[in-house]
Amino acid sequence: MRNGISVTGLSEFVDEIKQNAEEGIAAYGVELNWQSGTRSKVKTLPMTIGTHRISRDFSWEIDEPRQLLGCNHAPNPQEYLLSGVGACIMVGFAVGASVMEIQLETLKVTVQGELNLAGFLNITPDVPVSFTELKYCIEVAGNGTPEQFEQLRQTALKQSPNAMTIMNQVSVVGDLIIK
Amino acid sequence: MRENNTSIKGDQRAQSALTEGVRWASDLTRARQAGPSLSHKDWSQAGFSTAAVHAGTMDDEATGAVGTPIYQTSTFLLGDEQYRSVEEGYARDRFIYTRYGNPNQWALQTKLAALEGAESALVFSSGMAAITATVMALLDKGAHIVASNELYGGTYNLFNQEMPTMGISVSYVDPRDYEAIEAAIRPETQMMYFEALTNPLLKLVDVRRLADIAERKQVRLVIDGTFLPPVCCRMIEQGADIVIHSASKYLNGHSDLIAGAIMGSRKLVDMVWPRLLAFGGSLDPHACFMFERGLKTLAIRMAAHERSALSLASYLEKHPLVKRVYYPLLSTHPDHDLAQRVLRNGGGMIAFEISGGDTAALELLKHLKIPKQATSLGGVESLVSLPYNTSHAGYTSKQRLDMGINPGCVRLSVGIEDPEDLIADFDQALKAL
Ligand SMILES: Cc1ncc(COP(=O)(O)O)c(C=O)c1O
Repeated sequence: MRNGISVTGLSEFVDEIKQNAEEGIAAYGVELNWQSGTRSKVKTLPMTIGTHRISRDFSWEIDEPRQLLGCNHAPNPQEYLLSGVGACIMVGFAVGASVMEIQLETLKVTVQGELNLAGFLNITPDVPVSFTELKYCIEVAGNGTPEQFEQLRQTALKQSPNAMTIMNQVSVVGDLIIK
Repeated sequence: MRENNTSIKGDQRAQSALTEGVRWASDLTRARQAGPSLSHKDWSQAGFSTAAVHAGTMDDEATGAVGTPIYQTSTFLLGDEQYRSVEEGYARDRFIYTRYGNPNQWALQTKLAALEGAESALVFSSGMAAITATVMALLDKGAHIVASNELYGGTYNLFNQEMPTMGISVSYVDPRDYEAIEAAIRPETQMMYFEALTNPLLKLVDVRRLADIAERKQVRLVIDGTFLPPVCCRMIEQGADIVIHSASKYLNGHSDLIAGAIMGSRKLVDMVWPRLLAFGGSLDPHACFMFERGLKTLAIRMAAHERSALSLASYLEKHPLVKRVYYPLLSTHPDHDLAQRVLRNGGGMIAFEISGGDTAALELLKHLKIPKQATSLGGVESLVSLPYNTSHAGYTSKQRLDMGINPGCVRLSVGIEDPEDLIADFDQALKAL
């Protein structure tokens, strides 16, 4: 299959959602348990797509480098955020290439960002806590034209749920349970 | 569509999703449809016998020979269209290699789908191959199954010995205890797996009720319908997501081949197909031909099975040496009301208990002249066996008692022999005890 993606399966899924909007609803979740210091363990919660539940038996760790008072045992939250954005753009790029009948040879996405810890630490109140800019770079080889790749870049970004979540901002609602 | 239809070796209606100017997923044009099939005549309004004879069966175009020719080949000539189907992911709609698909498999699958009223079907080299491929297709890492605690031994072994190796766990529950079934469902449960009619005590499960639980809990419902082929009850109509058959039994009906089948929506059957390819349980074209021939008489065979089974069950029920008879159409059967509601045909399976325990049961088998002592079921010939030394030999007598399998329990697959002859045979054998 071109780029390892079944455009037939994709087309049928698209049609299914056109027929029944409920099939397009995906619900995700993760659960983090604090281990010690800055280290936590994450596990995925069951996901639903449409009306069916999917087992998600995955877990990983998150830590901070020593300089940020961790043990440097695992990637840190910012790296997970960046990888979540990068992977999402990459999926969109590969899907788009497949439907445009472009054979990819290599595809590399880098995502970088800088933030000022004075914001997190509230040392300087007018410094933003957040990243102020994320930079991505897509490096691609394949049989598409430069125009096609440019089109793909724009579509991949525009259709990326993670990139759009960041670009459009999302409301974050929460609970606190005291045990 | 870029080529004319004559170049398509496969399902003419199934086409590429791609057209000029596609930029994104929303521009794709292909929708799921029933099949794949070489013949698109709709037999869904026809009776079971008409569909069994005609659906999917193709006459030979070159010679006019009536009936599906045997395409005894492992492979097919490739052209642009086939390469394209592989590249775009619709290889199931084309002929490429017999493990992927073959006209004899398709003819059979079309017939099975028509009989079940399902969109799609797949045939396999055994019932176990069908079960393994289906279960593995519908489950993910870490998944959990809620299954009947009265499963066919081979399925139980798969669930109990193989699934844990793959990180999949199973809870076993009484197939009649719907509250317990619902309570057994966990956040990671992905499938409910039940047999329509259990072995040997013929508990009839309420598929609609299971389907209701499955829908509310967002899990898939898989039913092993081996003991109740579509003529008896259409499981998909009742709400099952996929129905599985050991076609070695009623579907083929002649005890002369091993095969399996599944029927369901095109979406789910398409998910199983890659597992059929990977696990390799494909059905040989010659076996497909035999299976297709057997399947044509499913409805009349089932009518004969039911007629003989009901007569024999009624006779046995009155016999002083018989303590209890299980047959869904007997008013004494615990699930008789449900059977009346959901079964068009009661099938040919009977279980009964005779006085004198397993020794007497063994003795009875020796005196029977028509039923053959053999495992399996669903063939034209009556087969008889004792659960204690065959299907349930792995359990202790206490465990069997707990399941309700009492000493003297006999399992009988009633064939299509004349009921008078079967009754006369049982009469002489019971007299000899
Ligand atoms: C209810 C049931 N399911 C599945 C199977 C397995 O089928 P096969 O023997 O065709 O692999 C059997 C076979 O004995 C069966 O009785």
